[in-house]
Amino acid sequence: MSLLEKSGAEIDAIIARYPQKRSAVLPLLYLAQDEYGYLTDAAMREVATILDLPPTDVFEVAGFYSLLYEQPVGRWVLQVCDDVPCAFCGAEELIATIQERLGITVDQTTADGMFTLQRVKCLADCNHAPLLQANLEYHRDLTTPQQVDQLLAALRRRAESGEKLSISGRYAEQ
Amino acid sequence: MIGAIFKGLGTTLKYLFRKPVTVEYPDVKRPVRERFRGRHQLKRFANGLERCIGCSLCAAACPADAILVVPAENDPAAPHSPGERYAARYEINMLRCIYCGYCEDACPTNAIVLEHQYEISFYDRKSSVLTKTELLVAPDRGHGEIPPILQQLNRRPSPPAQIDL
Amino acid sequence: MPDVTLVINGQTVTVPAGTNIVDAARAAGVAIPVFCYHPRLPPVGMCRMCLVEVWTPRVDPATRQVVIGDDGKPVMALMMGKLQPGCVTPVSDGMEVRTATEKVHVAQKGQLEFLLTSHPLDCPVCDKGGECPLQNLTMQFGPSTSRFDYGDKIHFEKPIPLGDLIYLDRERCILCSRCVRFQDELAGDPVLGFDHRGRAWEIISKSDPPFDSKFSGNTTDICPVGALTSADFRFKARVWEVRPTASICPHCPVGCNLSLDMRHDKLMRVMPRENDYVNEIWICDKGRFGMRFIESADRLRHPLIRKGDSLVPAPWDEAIALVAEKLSQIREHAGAASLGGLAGPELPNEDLYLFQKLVRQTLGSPNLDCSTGASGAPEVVDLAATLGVGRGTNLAKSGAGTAVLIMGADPEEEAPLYVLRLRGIVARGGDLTVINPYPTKLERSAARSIRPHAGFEAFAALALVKAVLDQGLIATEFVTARVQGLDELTARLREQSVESLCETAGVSEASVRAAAQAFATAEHAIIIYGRAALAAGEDVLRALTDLALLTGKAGRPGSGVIALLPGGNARGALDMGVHPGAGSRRGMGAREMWAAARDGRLRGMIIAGMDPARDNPAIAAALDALEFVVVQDIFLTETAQRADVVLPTASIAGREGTFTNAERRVQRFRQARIPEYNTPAGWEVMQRIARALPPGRSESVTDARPVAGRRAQRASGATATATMDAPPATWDYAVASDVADEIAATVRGYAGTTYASLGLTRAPEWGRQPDEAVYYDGTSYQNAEGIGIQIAATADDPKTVFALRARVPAPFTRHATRPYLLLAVTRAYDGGEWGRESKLRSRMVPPHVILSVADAAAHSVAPGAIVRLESDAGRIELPVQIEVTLPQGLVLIPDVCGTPLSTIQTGPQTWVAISRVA
Repeated sequence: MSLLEKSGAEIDAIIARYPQKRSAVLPLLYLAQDEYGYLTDAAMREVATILDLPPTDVFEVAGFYSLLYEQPVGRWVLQVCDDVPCAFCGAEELIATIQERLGITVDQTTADGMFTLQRVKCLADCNHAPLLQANLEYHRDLTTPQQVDQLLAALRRRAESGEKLSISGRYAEQ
Repeated sequence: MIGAIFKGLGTTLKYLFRKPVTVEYPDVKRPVRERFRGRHQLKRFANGLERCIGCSLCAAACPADAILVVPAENDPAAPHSPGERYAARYEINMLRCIYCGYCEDACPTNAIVLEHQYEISFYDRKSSVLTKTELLVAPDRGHGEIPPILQQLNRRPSPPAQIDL
Repeated sequence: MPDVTLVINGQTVTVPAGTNIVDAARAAGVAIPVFCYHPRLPPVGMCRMCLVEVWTPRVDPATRQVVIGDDGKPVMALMMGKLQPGCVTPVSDGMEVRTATEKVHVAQKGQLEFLLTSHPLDCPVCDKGGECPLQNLTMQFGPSTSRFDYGDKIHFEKPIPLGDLIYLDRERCILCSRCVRFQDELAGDPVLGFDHRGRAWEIISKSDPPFDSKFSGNTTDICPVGALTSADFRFKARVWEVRPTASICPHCPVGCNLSLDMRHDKLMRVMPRENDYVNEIWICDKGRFGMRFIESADRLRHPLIRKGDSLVPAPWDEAIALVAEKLSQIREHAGAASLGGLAGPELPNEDLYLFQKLVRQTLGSPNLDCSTGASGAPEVVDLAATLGVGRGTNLAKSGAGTAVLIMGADPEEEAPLYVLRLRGIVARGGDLTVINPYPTKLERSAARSIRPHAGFEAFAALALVKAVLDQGLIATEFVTARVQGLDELTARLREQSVESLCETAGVSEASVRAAAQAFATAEHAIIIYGRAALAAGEDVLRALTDLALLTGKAGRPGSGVIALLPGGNARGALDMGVHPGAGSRRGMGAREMWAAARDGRLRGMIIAGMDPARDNPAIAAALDALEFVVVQDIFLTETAQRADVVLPTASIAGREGTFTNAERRVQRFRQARIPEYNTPAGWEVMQRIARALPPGRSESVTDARPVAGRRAQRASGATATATMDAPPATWDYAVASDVADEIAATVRGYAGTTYASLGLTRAPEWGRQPDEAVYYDGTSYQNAEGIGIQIAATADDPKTVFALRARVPAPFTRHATRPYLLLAVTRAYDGGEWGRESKLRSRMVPPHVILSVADAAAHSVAPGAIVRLESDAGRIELPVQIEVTLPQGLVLIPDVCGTPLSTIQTGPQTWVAISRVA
């Protein structure tokens, strides 16, 4: 089922927000990657067709932003800030802990498709370093391995409880 | 007057008992200097790949317009040379060649080398054009490793850009 | 714009305001190195190579006055306190630019050091090596060593195909975006883009097929490094080894200036040759990649003579003698009128001229044509000879103040380079209106697009005329002096209103009125018409004529009509008299000839460079009915296979000659190589036949007149004659220029088009600096072999008077049982003989039919399904493609090889019924 058929009304609402159709490319890409799990080649072409854009333009946008995933990702995308303040406060330890707990390295997805770990640059909350965002939800002051365990368990629980998740962070608390 | 005659005869007498300087060519061949420029050879790398990458710089440098290079694309499965390009045809017209060695200087991979062979004669003009098969050394006569810049992957040319071949 | 005076490196220069510093410096002879900037693209300032010191007079912020120093001169201040990019900094009065200071040199060195940190330095194997701006500028401005660790270079997989014509080597790319900007802004095919960011930035193309543009080859020319290279020239030769030969593209009426780069008599690559009057520095991919046919192994090598059922090789003398014998036999027995001649509109003027001389004068037959005479081929109506764009027109200079009206043409397919030219006019502020029954790509660039119902184009055209009359947009001065019949026209159109005409045509009245307003009020206006207009019939062209006349848009530079006729030299064919109406006695056209062949009135034919029997069983049958057919071609075409004698000729690479383009520019091409398989030029074949013919009844074929006499006549500049019957009857041409001299002496308008004058470049009037192409592009587009001569149109003579002939079209009725209107449309990649050995083979359009979404749904056919089309003439079955923007009720069939169009067409516009096959 195509994106348009499935979420036609939502797409119309998004497009209506902008004076120009092409401005809706980012929200539509978010929608598409939630729908397909990541931005498949076909999904990006679909967005291009909906917005009357050359396909190349959509691929350009998707390639530029770190929140648009062109590779398959897990249900939770954990993005750990490894910028300077976070690094001082233990970001590398945080990454090492997550890697150890999940048995994956950066840019990998757990075998059960639950978590993907990524390094990103500044998340703009340095006073709570080290921190990560899981599907754009902020989880701050993760200084101990116990906190990491609790967080991973909580996230796993939420996913298994059937909560609607969005790797684009569309349901994240603002 | 008499003295001069004896001096001359003396010289003659002296050389009579010296070892002759004449070399019995072709039975005896005189060694050439290290940097002697004779017939060309196209070299190979130690692994047998041709050094020539078909860049035609030798032909461009040649003041006698003696060299012809026709390049082609390497088949990645069975390459002639490292990299994407090789010389499909490589010919030197030895009647035109003036043995200046500019081709050797121009070659970025030290593929063309003027070796020490100087007995170059032909029965007709056509055979004066040496083809690639005649110029290329045997596959087991290669030397040197492929420089990183010519390797498709895993290349780490060392600074500065000068390649030490 | 006012001029600005500034000082560059101590030199005072005056340039138009708005000029950037790089261009101003070029005008002063100062070279500022650039990578991303290109004079034909808008500047972006991406590469920072053009950093220079810019000093401006200091202005006192309080008084807003220039501060004057103790020495009485303005106090100068460094702009922004740092170096400025020259390509995005416009000049201003009193500015002082320093391009050779220590500071600038440090910046240039640093910039090159940066660019080279990620460059693989594989110049010896790079196809750009030798004409590479990065190489050149590094040698001139760069550091000799790098401080960067070479191990940190970014490595990518070596070239990836960006489409099947262009390779991308991402390691070499310096991300200047010239290619992206060319595609977005000049070509209007936004198929290239940047993916990722930072050091992983790379060029991508995600169109389907990748790099889907007819202008893709140009990106390899403007690429300042070896990142984009052409698959056609991959490792063929080093650029300094090739011998460029001036040529002209024979594929379409634009007549792009080409350079055939030869090595050892083999074609290595095709490059554009700069000519601002024709193609600037661009060519389309058909010209660039579609010239490999000249070296095809399938080329004809020997004359062939029919022996029974087969064609067997024969010596030239025998073949020519046979042709002469047969032709004269037919002429003796059945009269000259039972002979006919068809010559292809791709042949050079020399061939066409001698062809018509042979048929019309020596053989004495008036039956000549340059069209195939297929049932669906539209009648060629030629307005360009009379109302053609005025002498001196340069579309590269047209911009604001120019209105262009496209009527029934798809320039992208019929004459691709006009897309760049017209988009250029729009970019410079010109106005573009597209009127076409089906969607075309150029519409996207147009100010307004008018889509009349197919079959009702004439009403739309007439609505424009009526709107001009209604809105008082008539150019009174021009009309009073040179136009007759205004009152009659007004009377003829009294009953009509713009509103009713628009309603009939199915177009919006407002946009028609706006188009008429824009067209009439613009200082200059150009009408371009093509296949769809010709298919719509004569009424459209009458209306267009009157539109140009009423608004006075004819007979002066920058205004007039451009006809996109099929074939690269249709203009020349018409001028040379290869059409039935050129002589004093009207002959049969192609269509009449086929009818005459079937009923035995036509007995023999000479066909040169044309393949009318291709995909056309009716014409093939007519050919078979003829007593004697001689075909002259470079391939054994379907027509040639049916001939009694086949004579091979040289391609344009193996001979010299001239073409006349759609803007009536006569252009000369040179011989690039020894003729393939020693085949003679077409004109030589004509001469051999003519010489072998026994003298006829009415004309003398032998060289009765002394050579000197003819030469003397040429020299005295014999006055141009109205008909083609008058040229001297002698056949003593030694070289092609002898023929050209006779053309110059006898063909109307061609006076002065001798090889010597066609070969002049003069001072490039478009203000190009010497070696500028080398400087900006590395490669050379230099044109030292002539920019051609634009010949006058009839309207250029201020004494000519024209009559207004527009009329109300007959009411167009729909077919009772066949509801769909079928139009054949041109495709540039049509699968013709020109595409042999070409990289474009994969892009050739396969036979198919294009339906609108609604019609496809009505017959429940999906793309790829087979439908049957049925007309009064016959039926054909073709796979379907669906075009979203195609109006309902219209069916398009690309006129490509393998499409049996003649089976179904009853005329240029055919009513058909559609049914689904299984």
